Amino acid sequence: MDRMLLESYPFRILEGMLIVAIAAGIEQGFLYIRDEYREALDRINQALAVFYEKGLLGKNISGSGFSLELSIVRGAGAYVCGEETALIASIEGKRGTPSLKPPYPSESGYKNLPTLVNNVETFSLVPWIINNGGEKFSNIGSKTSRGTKTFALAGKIKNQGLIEIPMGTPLKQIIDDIGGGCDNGKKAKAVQTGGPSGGCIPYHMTDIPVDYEALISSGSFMGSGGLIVLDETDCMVDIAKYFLQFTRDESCGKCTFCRVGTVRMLEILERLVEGEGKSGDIERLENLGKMIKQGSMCGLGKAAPNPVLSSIRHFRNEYIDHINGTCTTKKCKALFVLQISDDCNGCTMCARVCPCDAISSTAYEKHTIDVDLCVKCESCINVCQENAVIKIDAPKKK
Amino acid sequence: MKIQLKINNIQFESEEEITVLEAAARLGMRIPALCYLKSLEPCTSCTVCIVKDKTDNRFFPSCATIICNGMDIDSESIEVMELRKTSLELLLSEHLGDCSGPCEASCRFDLNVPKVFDAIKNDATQTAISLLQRDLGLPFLVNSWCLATCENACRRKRVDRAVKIQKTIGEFLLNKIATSKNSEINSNIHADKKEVIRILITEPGIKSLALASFLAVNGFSVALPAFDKDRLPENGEDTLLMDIELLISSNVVFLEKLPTASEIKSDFEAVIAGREFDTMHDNLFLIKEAKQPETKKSILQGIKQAKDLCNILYKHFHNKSVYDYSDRFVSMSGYLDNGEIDLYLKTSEARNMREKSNACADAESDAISEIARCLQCNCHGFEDCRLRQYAAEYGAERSKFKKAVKQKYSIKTDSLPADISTSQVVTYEPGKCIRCGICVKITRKNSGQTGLCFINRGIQTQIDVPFGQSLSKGLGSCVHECVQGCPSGALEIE
Ligand code: SF4
Ligand code: SF4
Ligand code: SF4
Ligand code: SF4
Ligand code: FES
Repeated sequence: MDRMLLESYPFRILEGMLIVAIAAGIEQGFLYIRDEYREALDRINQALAVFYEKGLLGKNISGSGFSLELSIVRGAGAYVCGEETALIASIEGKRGTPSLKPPYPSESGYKNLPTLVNNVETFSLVPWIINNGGEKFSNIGSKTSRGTKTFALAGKIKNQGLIEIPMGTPLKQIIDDIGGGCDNGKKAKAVQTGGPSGGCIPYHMTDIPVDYEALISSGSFMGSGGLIVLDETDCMVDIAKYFLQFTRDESCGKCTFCRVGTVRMLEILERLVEGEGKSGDIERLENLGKMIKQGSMCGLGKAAPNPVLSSIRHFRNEYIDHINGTCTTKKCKALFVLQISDDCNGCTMCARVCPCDAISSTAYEKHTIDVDLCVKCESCINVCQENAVIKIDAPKKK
Repeated sequence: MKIQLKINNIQFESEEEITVLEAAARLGMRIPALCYLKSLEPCTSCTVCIVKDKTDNRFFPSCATIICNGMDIDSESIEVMELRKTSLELLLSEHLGDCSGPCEASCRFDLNVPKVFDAIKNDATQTAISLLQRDLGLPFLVNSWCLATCENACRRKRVDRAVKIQKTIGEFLLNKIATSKNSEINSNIHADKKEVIRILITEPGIKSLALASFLAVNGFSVALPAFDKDRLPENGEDTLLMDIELLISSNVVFLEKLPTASEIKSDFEAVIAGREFDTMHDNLFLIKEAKQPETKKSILQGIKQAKDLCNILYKHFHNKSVYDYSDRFVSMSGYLDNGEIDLYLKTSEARNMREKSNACADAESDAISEIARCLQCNCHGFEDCRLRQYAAEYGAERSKFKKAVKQKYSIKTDSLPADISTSQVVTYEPGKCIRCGICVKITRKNSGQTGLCFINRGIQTQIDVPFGQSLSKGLGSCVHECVQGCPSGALEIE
């Protein structure tokens, strides 16, 4: 949603930065924007040109004696460069790896100067607060988390998109009212909050208010403000694996725990979804996850195990099922096979869509699937009007 | 202003802003550190130096964290130790290397074959003999009787045939020792030691001879009764006599008769005796010599026991092991496929090419060319590998976290720039590199040069030289500093 702000409200952001610069006595500023966000780059460039043209940026702004230079730095799109010290390193032209804090950027940041680093959303709120007063802003929201927050609502939900809500809105309200519940009448199962390194919160716990404290105490965090809704067909082990893959790929590779630890965790998850889990794997994940959180240097590593740890915490049963060779939701390909039940009325539709000719069919007779040929594309399931194509547990591996 | 804090519940005060690691060192507490060098700004990558601040339950690398007032540092609780052990185990899960070669690993006497070969090749006769004596005790006898398990395991077998280790060493012993005068060989072995510990062995058997040898080579002064000629083993007379010659040259004293009780008390710091021997010495150790005539196998076993006994004595007097085989850490890369063996072959040939020029071409050229066949497939950074040392210290398990897919062996070799050395090559083995960044930081000093750099990120992170330049170009004039700073055996000069 920062991208949306950059594209739609560039002036608001620049104004915010200008106000902050005056408040803190700052003379040079950067906007670090991913190079893929072409639209955002264009808009900010245009807005900067306008600011400079009107004399709102540059030397001795409007004769006030105050000067501020703002410029854009295009980032190559590494997730870890969202970490402030990595971001600073990247602006300095170095490899985008975080460095140990302290010293914090506010003491020694860009070129060892005191540096203020804030999110787009934070800067964008500043003009409103200045115009309307801090009191008005803090009247919105919950006791501890004030104001509003933008979220990117996504996943298995009817109304996807960006929403801005007062802090403290119950999570359930976001899913059911704003989001309109799940697609196709399926039941919501959990919400992944905070992006790929956040945690999941099961649906039955979603009466918690969305604020910093409540999210943290339920094993997740606000993070990037992503809200991904999962429905009953989603396999938590598979989802955890998906998110961990992301952080593994985005780890800068500096600290041992994050660089190697995430890979070792991922290997355990991979064998779980392949039906090759070993007893003790859950404990292995928990132990290693805890240590990665303790031993990593920056926020990325410290949060990387969250999806795994929180899904173990709330959906331990699914992990146990996987060790026993069953995928609870029949999502993991290695753990189910397709079969045609007696509900089959012999319409031959499934046989027609099957890309591998795995279904032998005689019209008006029950069809059968050759599991050795089947690639589990599930086309047959989607096309069957009788819901006769079903998933059953794969025969156990020796 | 004074900074006050506690480390492991001990008060510490300092006016300087030093790191937690340094503060601990001043209190005499050693915190392990892999990616840290005193002369370099910290890399904070290995996380082995991790400690905990009990005031806020935060964990951080002690090598880069400056002390603050009120800290309550914990660097020795089980929680912290487990974290260190785990970070070592994670590093080891990505590690590919053999601390010792298959030959050493399979030798019952743990003889470091390539090291002996090196000494022979470089004409360092004294070193070679000390190495042999140190590990075999009675090198002539053991060499002629052992089953050459090393050759069975030798990696060269995969290329053509195994290196003839037993024969090469045997011939070396015969040529060098049998033909030279005692004085030439062992004359200076422990001449500089001031306080020598004197040990009396009261038994005249083969095991005692071996023990005397092990003790002598490890710096003890040993006396024992003259060897009983009747007890010479069948088929081993000649070799054993040569071993005895070697002992004499190692300053082992053979006594005509045993000293009296009071002499024993005053002249010896320890006595090693059979069960029947009657003495009241404070440091009395038991040795059991066989009564019956022995088989080859039992004699070799006895020599091995003598080695263990020597270790016990060494521990007793010096508080540390001299043979650390049971508690040392070994990394093993296991089976290598053909492509990987070829790499070993190429690298060892590259090394040998450089060495040929100074190798002597006389009667020993046979042995020399046999030695040149050795792939030197053991790790050449063994002696000062901090990863290995900490792994042993923390009891890290090599395969606690097993990598799902086996890594491929790879190695880069490059000759050093001519202005540094014309006869040496530098090698870089990614499998042994822990991506600590020390070499990257050091080569930044090469002004005007690119130095080394990291490429890729996450688990794909590699050390490389920018723009496809050669390894020695990247290392430049810092090559020696990098090799020395490298905490593992990833960078070596040979
Ligand atoms: S925790 Fe991960 S991303 Fe952060 S500095 Fe360490 S290796 Fe890099
Ligand atoms: S680098 Fe160290 S741990 Fe690795 S093989 Fe060499 S000695 Fe062993
Ligand atoms: S090639 Fe050399 S180092 Fe390797 S096993 Fe054979 S003798 Fe030992
Ligand atoms: S090669 Fe460089 S990065 Fe690798 S372990 Fe050695 S010093 Fe560290
Ligand atoms: S992180 Fe401190 S020594 Fe490596």
